[in-house]
Amino acid sequence: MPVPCARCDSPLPLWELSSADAAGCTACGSRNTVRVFPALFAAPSAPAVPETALDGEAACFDHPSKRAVAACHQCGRFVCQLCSVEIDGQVWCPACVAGGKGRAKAVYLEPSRVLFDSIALTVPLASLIVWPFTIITGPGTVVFSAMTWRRPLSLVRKHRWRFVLAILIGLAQTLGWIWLVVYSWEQFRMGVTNGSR
Amino acid sequence: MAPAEEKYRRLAGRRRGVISGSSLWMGSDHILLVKTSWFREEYKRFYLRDIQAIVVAPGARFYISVTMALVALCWLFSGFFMAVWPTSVSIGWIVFTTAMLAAWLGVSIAAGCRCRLYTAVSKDDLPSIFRTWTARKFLRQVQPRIAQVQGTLDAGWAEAERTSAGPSVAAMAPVETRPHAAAPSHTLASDLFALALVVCSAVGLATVTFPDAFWNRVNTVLTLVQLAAAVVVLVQYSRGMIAKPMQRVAIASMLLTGVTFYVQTFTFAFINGARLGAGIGPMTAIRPYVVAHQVTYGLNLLLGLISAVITLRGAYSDEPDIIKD
Repeated sequence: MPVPCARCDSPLPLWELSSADAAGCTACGSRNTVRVFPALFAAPSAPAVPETALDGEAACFDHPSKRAVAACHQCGRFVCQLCSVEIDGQVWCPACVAGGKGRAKAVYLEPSRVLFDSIALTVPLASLIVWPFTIITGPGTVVFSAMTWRRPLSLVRKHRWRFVLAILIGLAQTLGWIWLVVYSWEQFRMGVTNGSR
Repeated sequence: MAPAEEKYRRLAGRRRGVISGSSLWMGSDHILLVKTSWFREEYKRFYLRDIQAIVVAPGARFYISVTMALVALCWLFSGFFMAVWPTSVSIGWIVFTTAMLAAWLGVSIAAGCRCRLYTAVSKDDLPSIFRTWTARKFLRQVQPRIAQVQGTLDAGWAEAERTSAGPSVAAMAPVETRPHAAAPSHTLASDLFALALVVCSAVGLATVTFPDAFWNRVNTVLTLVQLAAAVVVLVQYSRGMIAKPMQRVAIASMLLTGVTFYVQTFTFAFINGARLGAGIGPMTAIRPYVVAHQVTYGLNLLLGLISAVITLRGAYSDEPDIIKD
């Protein structure tokens, strides 16, 4: 079982790995710190090879020429060795797994998430660089935050303080614009009144 | 367990760029690699039962975090005003900037590393592990957890593998992690820090009413020494070389110095501004200023005594127990 060098990918020699902490790479000369775990020596599981169905034998729903080894716990279709998917000790067919029926939803692991709270916070702050844009981003941030409030956050961050801060900044920008419009209108009206006198 | 309910604990190492970042988290049965790009996080899970090896290779890594970049930009921006500075300040600025650049280069070359995690079907770089001390801390954190799941290998596994007998795997007994509290309560740096606290506060208290510029400079230098020692203590704590109590004292002293600096500066500026406005003229030594100094030095002395107690208690408790050992 070779352990490759983290720098050049060449296999580290075993006599180097037997030293306590650092293993020198014979190719690039770097001193690797190596931690090896028992999984390195676990025998790889043999690939599932479905057997051919003989006449009169139950066959797989998706592969009629292959012998069925079980029935799907959800829909009852026969599945061959290749198609059988084990979930919590039960056999499921690929269609039920893909359809996300029942508990299959629970085993779905998200590969990525969009950080709506970061978007909500960044937009009003970034718009301050060109402040006239805040007339759009201020109320826009409040609406966006309210709309995406219940969307899942990051897997590792569980707090919604970014949303709260975004809403506060958005409200401040909106109120600022309202005040500016009212103040300007009052100034304009006073100017007109004074001019008419 | 539903993925949404999984509780993650942050592992050592973090890389935060302007548009991308990376971090590692420990879940109940897996390590989660989080890569951030703009407003999207991508996750990769390495189950503890599947990890075959973790390899760290030294190599230059030139990385600047956003925080570092901002501080550096502000610092470089201050250089624009060099024309109005005295020559000695300009020379000091240049020397300090060069020293900082050299230190960053030195750390990037000497302490850079590349960490890679291997499973049966994948090999993945861990971008957040790019300094050797972070890699050591990361290995200290994950190794016991993997050993809990997989067991441990015999020390002579490589020899056994060479003779094709295959390594023997020890029983999956929980491996005790080295607690942080096991770190020594004091080091040479923390002793110097305690000494600097006591000396700085004693000299400060004795000379706070002296109007001489000489004593002012002496106190400034002593404060800088104290701050430098506090930084060293914090670095040592992050590397697991010192226990928590001294780290707390270091944080408290740094906070005290920082708060005092700002309070003094703003108070002085506001009072003098008000006096100038009233046509009285500025004052160099005013009563509140002296009192603020006395309070600061008094608190520093208290912290110095606390750290001395920690050091002395540690000096006795760190001695080996002959009966137990």
